[in-house]
Amino acid sequence: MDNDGSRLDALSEKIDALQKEQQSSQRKDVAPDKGNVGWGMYLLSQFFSALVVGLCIGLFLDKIFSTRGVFLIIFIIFGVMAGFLNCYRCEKLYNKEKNDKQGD
Amino acid sequence: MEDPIEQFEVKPIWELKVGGVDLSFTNSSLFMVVAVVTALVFLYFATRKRSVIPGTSQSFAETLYNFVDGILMENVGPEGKKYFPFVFSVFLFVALGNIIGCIPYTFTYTSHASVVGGIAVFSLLMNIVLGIKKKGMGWLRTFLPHGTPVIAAPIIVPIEIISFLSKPFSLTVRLVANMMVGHIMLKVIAGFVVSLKAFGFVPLAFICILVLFEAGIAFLQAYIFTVLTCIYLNEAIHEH
Repeated sequence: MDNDGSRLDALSEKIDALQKEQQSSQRKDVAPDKGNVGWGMYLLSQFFSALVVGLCIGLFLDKIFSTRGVFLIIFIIFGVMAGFLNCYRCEKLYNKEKNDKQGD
Repeated sequence: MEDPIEQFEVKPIWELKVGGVDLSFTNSSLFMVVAVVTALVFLYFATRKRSVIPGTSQSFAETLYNFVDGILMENVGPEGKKYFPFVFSVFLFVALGNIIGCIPYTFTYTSHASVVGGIAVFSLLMNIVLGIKKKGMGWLRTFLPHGTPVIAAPIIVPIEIISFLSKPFSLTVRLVANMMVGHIMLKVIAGFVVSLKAFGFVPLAFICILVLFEAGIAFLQAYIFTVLTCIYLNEAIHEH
């Protein structure tokens, strides 16, 4: 009986250790690791998407108000700013998760 | 060598026009139906017996379920459970689209921004609807971060709106670009197999490895898409 009990304890310890390992290996972030090309492409997609959205809004507003590129220029500038904001947020999230991991 | 872009061309199978709107059943539609039917048939047969000790197919179905459930729990928490059917459907649709696309002579519908963008925009709309449902018109305050001076609002609000709207776009670009680049590369290298004649076995061996990588990327992209959908859900549920 004692033998069974100790085997069960050993098994539950093993399961706990595996569960811990699994939890620590699961990453919340889906961004690629920093320092490789993937990270650069990731930031680029964040920047580029904001720029394109700004461009589209500018073109749309120009069409509605029949202005010649006024909104386009304004919203391209906003798009660039939003692009930098996206990149900054990605960087911030990455650092936060890195610190959290180190804290664990 | 054949045009490597030709594989992404949408061709109608059954032409149908209703009131000037093209509603043709295309090769893209066909493979979407194939993906949905594959998922339905597999899940139906895999979970039919519901045995305590699962067989191979039931085990695989359960692993898929646990995998998506894990993503949802990790990124949204227990409140996200009621959105599981949506997230699971998105995952299966994208994953099957990517994986079916790796089979020669098939069509990768996830290489089209209209398909992926549609799902991404749907996730964003869900975020907006949930946010408004929870906070009413106060949801609009998310575009003015806490502590921002009112005088800065005319600059901050458009930037925040653009940043918010760019999320599905960035998601779409990443998935579409990954799928397109992979498939174009496969097609270009496949072209070398014939043109290199006796040495054609070198690109052939290379292509075998690349197909494996492509299958891995197919799954990884579906995972990324699902995680980001969950992040939108999390924002809608917790941060508004």
